[in-house]
Amino acid sequence: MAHRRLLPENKGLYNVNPLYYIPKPHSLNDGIAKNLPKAYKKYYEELMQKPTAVHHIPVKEKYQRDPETGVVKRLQDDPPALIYPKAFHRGLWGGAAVIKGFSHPHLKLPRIPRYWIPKLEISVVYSEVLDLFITTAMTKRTIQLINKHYGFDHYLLQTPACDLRSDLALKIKRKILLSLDKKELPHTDPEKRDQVYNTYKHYLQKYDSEYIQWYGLKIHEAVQKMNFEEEKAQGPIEPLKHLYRKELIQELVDEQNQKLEPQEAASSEGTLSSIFTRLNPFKKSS
Amino acid sequence: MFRALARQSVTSTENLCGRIFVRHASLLRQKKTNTEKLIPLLDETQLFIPVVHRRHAVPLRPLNGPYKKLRSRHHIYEQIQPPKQKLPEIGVILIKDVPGKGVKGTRLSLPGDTAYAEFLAPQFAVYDNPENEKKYASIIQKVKENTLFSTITAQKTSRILSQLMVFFYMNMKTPWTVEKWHARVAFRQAGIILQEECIELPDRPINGPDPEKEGKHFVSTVIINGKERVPVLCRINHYINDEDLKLPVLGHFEPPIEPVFDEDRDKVKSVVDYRSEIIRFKF
Repeated sequence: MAHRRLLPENKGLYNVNPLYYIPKPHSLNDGIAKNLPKAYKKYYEELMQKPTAVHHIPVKEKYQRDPETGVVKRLQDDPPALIYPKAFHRGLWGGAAVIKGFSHPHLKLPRIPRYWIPKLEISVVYSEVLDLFITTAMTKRTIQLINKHYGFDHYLLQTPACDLRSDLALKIKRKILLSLDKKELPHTDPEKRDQVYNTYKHYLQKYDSEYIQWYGLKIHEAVQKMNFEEEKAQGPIEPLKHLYRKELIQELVDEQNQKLEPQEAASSEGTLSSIFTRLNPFKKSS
Repeated sequence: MFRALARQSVTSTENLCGRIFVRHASLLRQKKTNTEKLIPLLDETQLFIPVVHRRHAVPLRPLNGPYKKLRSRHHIYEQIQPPKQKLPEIGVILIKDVPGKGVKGTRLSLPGDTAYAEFLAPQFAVYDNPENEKKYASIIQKVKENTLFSTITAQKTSRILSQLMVFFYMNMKTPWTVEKWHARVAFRQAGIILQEECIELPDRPINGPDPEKEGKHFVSTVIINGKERVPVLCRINHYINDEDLKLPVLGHFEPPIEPVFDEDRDKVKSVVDYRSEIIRFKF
């Protein structure tokens, strides 16, 4: 078990020697997804950042001094373990999730397993850019965040992907960014279309046009998109039967030409000289 | 083994009723944390979702190092429950007339939940931020100078009156002309009690009994607080106490809606259209 000792987890060598660093296996580091463009990897980093504290009071200071004794104590932030169920990805919970753990109200009795679930209510959001009403399950925290940012579109465009987290929110954000980037808004009135575009125009400085095209995709979707674009770059695939047919016709034409040539040659020159020319080993190859 | 357990249960005098078996005596030393002290540390957006505090602190891990494997006791949580309260209030500017709440251009401050559900989501209002304040400056100043309605309830009563159709039941045999006391009785039958000063009838007198005026309409106006003038649609029905001679009565706003005099045809039609616009505001 010599190799286990070398692993950084079993030795205290995290920051000392980078030689001992062995990266964890991940689907972005090997396999097909290794060839994904940088724009997608940038988005994936944004998604995997540490989210803001929702279900606990965060510890922001690293050290704390005891006022009486003067002893310095190190602190650390450990958030509770969260679960993101399927219903989370269908709604807009505003970063809230399910907590799994134990409650222990009576100290002399055994502890009780418990799930803490946020209160959900079915409500409506209006996206000004897409001109669309959406009914989903929401928490009160979502409404507070929308009010804080003065609108649903501003809330989506100002918060990073790690805080939105749910599939629905990321998909709507992707649609909004794409429609702004292409300048294809669904409003019928041209005056209102320009007015809406001008209010949300300044967000395009933050997001690059290449970055937008890869924004909000899952890994398997991104791989699908990459493969599709590669096929598109190669052009339409020609079936082999057309190619073989062309070759065959070419061969037949050549054969026919070859039959005609020797007759002409025989008529112009003598038969013997033609045989010698063929057998002559010193002839230059044209 | 069972004897030992039984002895434990008897000897542990601190237990409830002295019968409950205590599994880990060491855990008894742990105390509950006072979660009420932690309530002021909460963020504004954390008040309405479950927020949790670890009872047993996790041991320190090396700097930038990996997480250690947690014990089961580290998953024991205590919920921080703030007292029941409303959402903090936010400012709102109305863009459309909302009966019972205000005219367009009025500024309201409401709890964020109701403001979102009743005004912002159906697009009756916008947020009261400096950008919108510039955009709707003209409407806001108009309301400041002169409120269009005398009171908030005046708007609501005008909405109710405009949706109304008043039936004037007139005698079929004895001659009459429509007067103010007729109107007062007709409004009372429709469920609205008012004084004769508040009513205005059309200038041209309406005489009867006349079979041509049966089921025809005219417009009278009701004045609220001496300021608001609300047009109300009225209909003439001839009435007699004899069962054989009684005429059938059509329902409210049942076509054809035709005027008594041909001059008022546009006036009657505008009242009917205005009514259909207002019905959308349901509270």
